This record gives sequence, C-alpha cells and structure tokens, in this order.
Amino acid sequence: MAESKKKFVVAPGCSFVGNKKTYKEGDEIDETAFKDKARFESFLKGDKPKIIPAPAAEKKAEEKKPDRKELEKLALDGGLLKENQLSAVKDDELEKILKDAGLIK
Amino acid sequence: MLNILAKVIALFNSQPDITKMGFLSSFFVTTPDSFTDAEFCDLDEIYEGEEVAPTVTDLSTGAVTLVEDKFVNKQIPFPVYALRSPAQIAALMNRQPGESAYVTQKINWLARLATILVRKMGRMTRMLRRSMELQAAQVLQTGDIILTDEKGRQTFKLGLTPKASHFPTVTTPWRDLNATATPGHDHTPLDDMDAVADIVRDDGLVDISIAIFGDQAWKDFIKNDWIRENLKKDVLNMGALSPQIVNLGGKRMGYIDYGSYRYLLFTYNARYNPFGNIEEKIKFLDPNKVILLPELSDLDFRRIFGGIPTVRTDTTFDQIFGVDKTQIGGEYDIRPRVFWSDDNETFIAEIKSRPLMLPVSVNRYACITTA
Repeated sequence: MAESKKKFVVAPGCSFVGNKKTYKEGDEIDETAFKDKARFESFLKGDKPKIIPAPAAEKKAEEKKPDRKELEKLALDGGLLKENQLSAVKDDELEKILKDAGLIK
Repeated sequence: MLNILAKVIALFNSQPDITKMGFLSSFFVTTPDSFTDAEFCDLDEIYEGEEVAPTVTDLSTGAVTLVEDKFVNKQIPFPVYALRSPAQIAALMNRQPGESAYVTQKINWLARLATILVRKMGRMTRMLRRSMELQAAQVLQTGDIILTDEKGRQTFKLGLTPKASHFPTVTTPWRDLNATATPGHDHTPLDDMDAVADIVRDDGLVDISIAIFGDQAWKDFIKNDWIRENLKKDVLNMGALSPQIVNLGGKRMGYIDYGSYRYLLFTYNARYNPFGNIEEKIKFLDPNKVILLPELSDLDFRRIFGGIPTVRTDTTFDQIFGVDKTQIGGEYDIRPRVFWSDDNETFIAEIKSRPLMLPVSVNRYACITTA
C-alpha cells in the first residue's frame, strides 16, 4: 500500500508569512510555501521546531497500526509461531518476526 | 598640555546622550500613574471587536441582547534592579577622571567623595536605562520579557502571551527575494509587511504606520527596485511623530505607500554589552527583524515603576541624592542610597528601581523575522 503524504502544521506559538499569505499556529503548511525544501526542514527539525506533524495525520497513523490480536493471527496463520508461544513474545518482538517474514511493513 | 587634555576628556564624559540609545523605550510613556508603591501591576484587557448593529423587524420587536465583552485580568510582578558600587576613603587619594595630575590647592575631601559617588550613580543609572531599553526591545520583538540575574538565571518573565501570528517568520528570506519583483504581483518584502499589517488590523483595530528595521532587514528591504523607486525621503511627515523620538538612535529613512498603509520607515542600530562582558556587543534590535507599530496616538505602551520601601539611617548625602525615590526627567524612577560600611572605610552607592515596559495594547503591534 502506498504511504499517504504526511501532513504538517504550524507549531503552537509560531507563525509564518510569505506569498501574501499568513500561516497561524495550527494551519496546515507544506514545503511549497517555503523558498526550498531545506528551509522547510530547518523549521521541522531542531530543539524548538516551528513546524510539527499534523495531529490528525498522526492519529490516523496510530489508528492504522494493527493491534496485538491481529498480529497474533497473522503470526499463527503464517505458521511463524504456535499458540503456546504467543504469551512469551512481546509486542515489538512480534512485530519484528512479522516484518522479517514480510507479512507486515 | 596635560590640563587641556584633562578638560577635553571631562567635557566628553559629560555628554548625556552620546550613545544615541532609547528609541524603542521612547514608545513606552510615563503618566502620573506610572510611579507606584505597588508590588504587582494589574492589567485588565477587554476585547470588543468591530461589530455593526443589526436591525430588528419593527418597533414592537424586542432589542437585540449583547453578550458580555470578553474580559481578561492579568497580574504582573515588577522586576527588581539593584546595583551598588563602593567608594573607599583611601581611594580619595587617587586622581579622578578629568582632574589635573598636579595638586595645587587644598582638597575638599567630602566634595571629592561626592564627585566620585555622583559618577558611580551616573554609571548605574545609565545601566538601568539600557536595561529598560532591553525590556522594550524584547517585548517589541518577541511579545515577552525574560530577565536574568548576573549568573544568567531567569528571574522575571512577563508572560503576556500575545498572539503568535503577530510574530511571524518569513517563508522566504528577504535576502533571497527577487530584486526586480513588483509588490502585488510577485513576492516582495512589502507583501509580507502588508499581510502582517492586516492581521494587526483585524486583531488590534489599528493601522500599522511605523516600521522599525534592523540593519540587515533594511538592506534586504531596499534591495527591491520598486521599493527604492517609490521610497519617499521628504521630511514633511516628521510632525506625525512625537519629538521625544528624535535623538535616541532611531534614524528616519523616509516613507512608502502601499495598499491601505503608509509606512514611516526607521532603522535602529544601538547596541549594549551583556552584564560582565564588555567585549561582546549585542544590538537591541535584531538585525533581521522589523517591528511594526501603529501611530503613537493608537498605542498604549506604559513605562511603570513598582514600589521600593525606604528606611534611611544615614542622611549624609540626602542633599545630593534626595531622600526618597528620584524621578529623572519624568522618565525614570530610581531610589538612590549612600551608606557607610566600616569594612575598609567605604561609602557604598546603591540604586534600586523596578521599571516595567508594559505593552498594554498587546494586540496592536507585530514583528517580522526576515531571515
């Protein structure tokens, strides 16, 4: 599945102006608003980023994350683990097993 | 030859405003209410908007009820400045700045001590003036004031939390904008100023009319051909500004009309040393920033002073420095004190003051970061 384009918003306490437009805190903003990608990324990184990932986009990403039961089913159906082994495997270990087997990205 | 040199130095030292500093704090005015004995300053903000009155169907219909105005109260403590400088009795033997190296007559020791103390008080008062200018510079550029002690630890934060949209950063640095671009069609510095001026118009109900440029921001601003061609340098508009602004380091560069706005353009290049570091020079106004203000009559920026309790035990120098808080030219409020310390036979000159540069009309100004 193609990864949807990540969205960004102006961080709280920050704002931008350019191209006859103003971007207030919480407004969606992308690299096309800036002189170049490097300038956009300079505001995205650093100790006090002025641009942050959009909360809605983050939430959607979290929603899409499969839960433990779905991952267990994938592991059982794929024959990677047996039922009595599941309780001993932690979440991140389970994800790694499935990733290594190519069942999830 | 030596005496002439000494006189020249003394004259130079007596120039009151050789630093050309105080432009930004001059927008903060004192009123009779400015000098208080209070510990806190209460600020009440009312937001009313620009609504028009609606009509009703006919006279028998009841009137439209208005909801209460939005009302916010903030309590702000006054910062505290306290400086002291000792003058040892033994140091009276040393030649003082401006004096001849040759003693030709009997010395009046008390007069000599008073001269030293006055000089020390003068230095401390000038430090205080620069601190007040720094407060003004901070609040105009960031919307907040953060003060630190001698070790750099934070001791005061204004915390007014003005709207972040009044302090934007440009998406394209002004130095990278096309010099042949035309405002309205392409992206120019004036378009950025116009967009921010509109925000201030919406939030603060005033038109921006004064733009104060940092050094680099001005260079990048006038790089644009259209701006250079349309910049007017006549001085007929000088009366629009209070005379108090003159001679404080701000330079009037002309004015320019664009959209609904006429911008009076200034640059300000004054600088200061951080405490304890006379090597480092920092500009009060960041070279890459532009402060946008409305006309002075639309601004309510106050210079207010908190209370300092006074209990005097030594009255030796009261005739020289006063007995209570001293106001200088109606602009500054300090409490000077001279007291005797038996340790090393020393007189100690001290001043205390609690000035606060308070932007009451917090939504009526803006500052653009142009880099």
